[in-house]
Amino acid sequence: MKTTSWKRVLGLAIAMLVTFGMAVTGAWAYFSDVETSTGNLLSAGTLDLFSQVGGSGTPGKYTVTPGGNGINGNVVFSNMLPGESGSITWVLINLGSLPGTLSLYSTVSFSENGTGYPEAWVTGNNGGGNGDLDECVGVRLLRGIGTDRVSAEANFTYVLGDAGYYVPFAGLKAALDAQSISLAPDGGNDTVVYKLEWLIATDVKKAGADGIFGTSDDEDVNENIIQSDTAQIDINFTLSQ
Amino acid sequence: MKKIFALTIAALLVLGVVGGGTWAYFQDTESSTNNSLTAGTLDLTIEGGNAAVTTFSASNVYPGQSGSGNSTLKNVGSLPGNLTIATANLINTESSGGTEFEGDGGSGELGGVAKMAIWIDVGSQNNTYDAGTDIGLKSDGTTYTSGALQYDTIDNYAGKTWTNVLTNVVQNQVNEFNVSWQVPYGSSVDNSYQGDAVSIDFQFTLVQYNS
Repeated sequence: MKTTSWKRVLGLAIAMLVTFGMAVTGAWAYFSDVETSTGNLLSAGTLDLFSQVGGSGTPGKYTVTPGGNGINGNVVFSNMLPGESGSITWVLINLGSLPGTLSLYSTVSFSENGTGYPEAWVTGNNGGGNGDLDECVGVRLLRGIGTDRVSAEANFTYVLGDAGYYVPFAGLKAALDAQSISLAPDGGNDTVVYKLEWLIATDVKKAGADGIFGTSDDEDVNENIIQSDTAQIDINFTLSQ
Repeated sequence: MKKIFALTIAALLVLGVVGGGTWAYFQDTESSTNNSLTAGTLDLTIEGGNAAVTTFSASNVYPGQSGSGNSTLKNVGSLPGNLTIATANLINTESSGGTEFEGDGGSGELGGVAKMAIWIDVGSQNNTYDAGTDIGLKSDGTTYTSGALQYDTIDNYAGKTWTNVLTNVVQNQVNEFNVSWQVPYGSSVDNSYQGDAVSIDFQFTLVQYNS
């Protein structure tokens, strides 16, 4: 009888301690299971157009500012003479991870830039009020696309003019603005090269009705008609997704 | 003499019975054995296992792009449970590429632009949100079951918990956790999040259901 009583007291004490512990700590156990989904990730691509300008011409009569990523580049030709020629090369590379469409918007402007004595006496000088380089300078535009500059230039094709002839400067804007090129992401066909070649014939002429220099309908003009005249080409290259 | 002998024998028998305790009596025994308690199990799997999975992942995303991902949740335990979902570890990462138009010095802006809608496909489990049967999880921690999917920027899902999204998920019941995301077009050019990244974790907890 005595042993039974001690067992009962001990059992009640343990039960009270357990209950008291749960109440104080709030540690009621229950079942649960946890699973996770981690590493869920979105990362944005990049669209980054790099440009670099180069040029060629009569030594000492042109300057090249290559420019770069976000930095304007240009080529300035000065004191050009009949019989001289030159070129401007724009290398454009999609350095981004996304493909893009390259479009061009250009402003091609011409100016008489004053009239000296020899020029003033030329019949028909300053036709249209914007000088005469638009009619008397021949241009042609090449374009090539590739994985780098070398391969792009190996793929040159004419988008204005041809290997056998030049066309009037005045047609350049339309040709530039019509450009819409798909560029692959960095590592693919991400490079396009435009090359503008210009030529002032030794015997300055206008292209005539066919719009092509070097054909029978070319119109002879006095070489002084282009003295001090200027032409300026501004181009915005935009790469859009 | 015979009488004395008989009485003596009887007395000895009585004494023998008392001394040896061998009185026979009727008896019957029954038993109750193998009485036991076996605890139930509560075991949630994701994509058929217990390891962390990735529900969605996309790189090179751009304005106008969208996508989705899903993970299968199944109660493979023997007990029913209530499902709670929570987000964690939302991290925006700034582009390290130094692209021409980025370099804004921020901490990553993609999470403030990219949007997502998350929902539980409890109906036909066709990975298509079916209003009326599926359960959408709003970025404010509430749920909805009607109307169209509700998108919000990923940043707005940070630190959210949807408690007891599903109750009494019984053994072998399967539900699909879905995430639909999109990078909307802006009203103008926005290069601020080029190359940026955003990541987010989800946690699924199945707690015993008490009927």
